[in-house]
Amino acid sequence: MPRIASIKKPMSKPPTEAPDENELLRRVVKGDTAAFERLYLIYHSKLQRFILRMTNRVDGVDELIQDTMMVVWEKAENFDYTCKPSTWIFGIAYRKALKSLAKNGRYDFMEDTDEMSEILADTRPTQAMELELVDWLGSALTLLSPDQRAVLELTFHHGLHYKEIADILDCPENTVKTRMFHARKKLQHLAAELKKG
Amino acid sequence: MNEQAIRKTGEHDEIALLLPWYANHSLPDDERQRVERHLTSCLICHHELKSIEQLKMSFDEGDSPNTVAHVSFRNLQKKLGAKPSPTASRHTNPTEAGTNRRHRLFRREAFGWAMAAGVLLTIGPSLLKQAESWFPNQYATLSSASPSVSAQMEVVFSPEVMAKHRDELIESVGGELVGNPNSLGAYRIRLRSPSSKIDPATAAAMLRRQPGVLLAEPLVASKAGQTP
Repeated sequence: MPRIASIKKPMSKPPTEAPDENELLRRVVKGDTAAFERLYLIYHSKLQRFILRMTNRVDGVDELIQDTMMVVWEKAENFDYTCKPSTWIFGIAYRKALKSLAKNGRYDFMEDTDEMSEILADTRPTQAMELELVDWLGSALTLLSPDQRAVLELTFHHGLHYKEIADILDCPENTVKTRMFHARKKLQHLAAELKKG
Repeated sequence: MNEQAIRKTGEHDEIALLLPWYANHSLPDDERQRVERHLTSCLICHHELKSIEQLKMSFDEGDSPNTVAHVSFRNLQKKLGAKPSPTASRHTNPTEAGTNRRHRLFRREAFGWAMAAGVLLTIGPSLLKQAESWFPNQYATLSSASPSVSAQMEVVFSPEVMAKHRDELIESVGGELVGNPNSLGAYRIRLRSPSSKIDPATAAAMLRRQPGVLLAEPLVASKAGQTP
């Protein structure tokens, strides 16, 4: 097996590595299963992480990915190419995840407008103390709303602009910004408590 | 507060809200330059940006569990098999009622499978216990040998792994392929000389360390269903 260190030339990307997702979707409309498989493999890990962050549950993630991609397969002809395929696909996943949370009675977070007072009046030091320092973020995220987690994930992991996130979440751009603001303040607040504890 | 100060505060608030997207490098040039101009004179935003960058790093560190994408796709394919392709739907121009009926049928079928899986999970353990009593010869005593591990493994490779690289990985543990992958994409691998220095558990552990290997588990003799 060749050692990586012995390879002098930078590896050139094969042309198949970054397929045109718009083109894949056009082929999906024609019922091309190979194109659909390609799209599925591209999005599986992205959706897995996004849904996991939103729902905070490992079980059921794959089912939600499949539900999302099933919609892509069935409704590809409805995609109007005015946004990126990723915006459309993440939007479907977002709604599927919200639906799943609502079905399981786990979407009971208060609205953004109330959240600043919630942060200031948060009297849950014991809960914060229990958070493990090693995975403080993972634990702290459970205290945010699914919408806030979605904004954080799409911004910091997927590197999306707030306008794209607003399209995915189907909300005004300012809502995305304020969700991010409140989420960050909440995380800062929890991190400070952990330091104290 | 004079008008200029109010405008400055407004500008600061707007920029503060943009900082996460400055940190993820997604801002277009005009917004990015606006943020950069502000950062040169605002210590608060400068400090905030540092904290945001730390948060961004924390996000990138945590990885989600990696279930196998192509195995997941095979499962979806089974579901798709029960449904017409979008092209077929368009060509046959089904009525709304017809489409809904197929959806209902599909959901009923999926529900049936889910119920069956649930029942199996519920009664599975007791069935296993029952099976032990059906095969009374297969019991162990303190003097029995430990359950024998066959010289076989089940291995799932990442879809990016080419056939040549897969064969090299198998060869590296002295193994060989047994037949084709199963419906979940798992290959069965037999060690050519089971009595040699590499036992199946070690071989599986070695394979697991390879980046292209998603799963590698030694098979116990009964699971392998045959002698090595």
